[in-house]
Amino acid sequence: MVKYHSSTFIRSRLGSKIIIFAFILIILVITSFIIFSYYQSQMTYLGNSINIAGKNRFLTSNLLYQVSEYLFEDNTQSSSKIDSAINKFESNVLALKQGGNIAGIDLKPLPTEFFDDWNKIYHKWISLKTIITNNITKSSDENIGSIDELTQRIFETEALSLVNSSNILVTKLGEYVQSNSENLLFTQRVFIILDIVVIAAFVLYLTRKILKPLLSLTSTIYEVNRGTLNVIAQNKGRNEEDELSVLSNSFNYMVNFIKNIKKEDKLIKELEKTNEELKYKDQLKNEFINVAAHEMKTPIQPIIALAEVIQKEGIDNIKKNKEFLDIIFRNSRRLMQLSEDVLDVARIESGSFSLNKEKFNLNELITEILKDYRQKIQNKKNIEFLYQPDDNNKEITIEADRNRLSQVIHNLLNNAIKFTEEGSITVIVERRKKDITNNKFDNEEILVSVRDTGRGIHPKILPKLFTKFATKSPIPGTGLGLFISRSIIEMHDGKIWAINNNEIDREKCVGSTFTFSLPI
Amino acid sequence: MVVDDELDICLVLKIVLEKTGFLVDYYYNPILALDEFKSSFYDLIILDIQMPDITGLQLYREIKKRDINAKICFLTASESIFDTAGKFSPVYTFIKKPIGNEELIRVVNNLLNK
Repeated sequence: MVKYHSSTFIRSRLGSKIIIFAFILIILVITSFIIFSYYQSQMTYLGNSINIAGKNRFLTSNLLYQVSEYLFEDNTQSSSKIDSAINKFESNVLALKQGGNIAGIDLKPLPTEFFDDWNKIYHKWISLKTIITNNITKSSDENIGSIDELTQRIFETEALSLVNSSNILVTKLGEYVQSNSENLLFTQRVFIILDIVVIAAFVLYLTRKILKPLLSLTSTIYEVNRGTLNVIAQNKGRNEEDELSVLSNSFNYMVNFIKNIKKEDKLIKELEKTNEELKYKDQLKNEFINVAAHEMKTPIQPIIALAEVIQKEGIDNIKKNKEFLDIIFRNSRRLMQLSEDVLDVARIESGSFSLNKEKFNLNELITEILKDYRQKIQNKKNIEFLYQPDDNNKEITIEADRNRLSQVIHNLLNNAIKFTEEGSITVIVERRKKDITNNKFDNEEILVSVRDTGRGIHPKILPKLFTKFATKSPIPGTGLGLFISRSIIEMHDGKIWAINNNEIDREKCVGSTFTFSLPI
Repeated sequence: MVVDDELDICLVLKIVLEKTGFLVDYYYNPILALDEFKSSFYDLIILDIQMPDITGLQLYREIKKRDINAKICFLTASESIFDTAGKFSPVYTFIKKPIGNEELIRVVNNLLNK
């Protein structure tokens, strides 16, 4: 059985894989952002440089105009304008190379590959500036500067050249920006492909490692639902701690468990069937012996067990426990009674059961027996023992086996006590004619009945009552007694029967009456 | 837990087992035993097979329904059941009546240690 340590999602095998994937994806996205923003800012600053470089062309022509204004108009104000124009240009061109802020526009230093172009611009600017400052601004206080034609020519040519150089720089910068943006686009595409690859790999991983095994497990479960238990979920996990491993293993364990339950159930059914078969066989063979054997072993167990306990613990210890002795005594008595009954049945069956007939007073016998019972019942049950002798014949002498007859009466009285909680048990004696038609001398009989106010006889039990196979009632010991009684009575040419009291007298509906007849 | 329709058997099993140190509940009415059965409460359940109303085997099934892990063994006085039962052990354990105290304790300890 795989022991599954409960782990967090992060520490689980599949969980960690998912986290790795997510991590890679995030790294890719962040990296692409970084690269893109780098390029973007690059291009923005380059754009600004282009802007300033372009502006320089305008400033150059503005300067030209200012100078010509100065020369033409002869305006002293123009000289300060020229000054500011020069300063503006100067700061622009320097900022172009070094970087800085011109009128709110942020400039980054010029990339080194453009230094040559810039130098050209700067030299041209210096010479232009020199021309202007030498010829014009120097003489601003008193004389109006003048400029000869040649210088003017040079001046204009230089200015034009400056503008050209600026143009070249601008163009080159533009191309630079273009190639940058092409790089950016390319990088973007690369990253998109990378992202797609990562996601696809992840989806594939999920499908292979999770979806497929789950689907396979589900189909296995369908098989089980259809009734097949000989299935095993294939373990698709990599090792014992993999979640899928755990799932497959648990599933298999569960299927096995169900199989075991079914097997056990089947075994018990087999066992029950065997039990039933054996019971049936016992009934066919000789249920009497088997029931008797069973009955005998039952009291033996307590006797042996307690005897062993006494042997181990010594008699002194046991004296305190009266219950032990009670149990031993009652089971010994039970065993003794059972043995005697079984022997009697054996004698009856083998034909060696004999009667010692003698003449005796029935009334006396019954009175004696009842005295005994009244004494014994005293504190145990609330039962009254009554005697109802024949009206006309109080004293009846019969010829029969006194001991055996006593046994019969004891048997009937014991049964009555066992099945009666409280009330009365009445012994009724009646002498009557057997039947009217028969005129033989010996056609009289004595009826002895034992009537109780107890539970009555269950109609199912009634037919089997006087047989050896009386069903085992909740109170033990009543199995063979009636059979023996019947045998005894029949050996006396009598009859024995039992009825429930509600058949005699509607009013007295509780209890039963057992009656036997003896011919005189 | 001991279930046997003979009260004296229940009493004596209780006496012998409690001297060894076990706690024993006994029922001589198997239906009452079923009603009062508490799942996972008993380490071992001993059932008589031949009982009126409901046999030990039926009782076994009912108890297993309430507690699948219950440990149960059978008591029988029938020789034939005991002999046939051989083919069902080690799954099921049968104790034959009558049984000596030492052997009873031995069997009970074996079952509890499985």
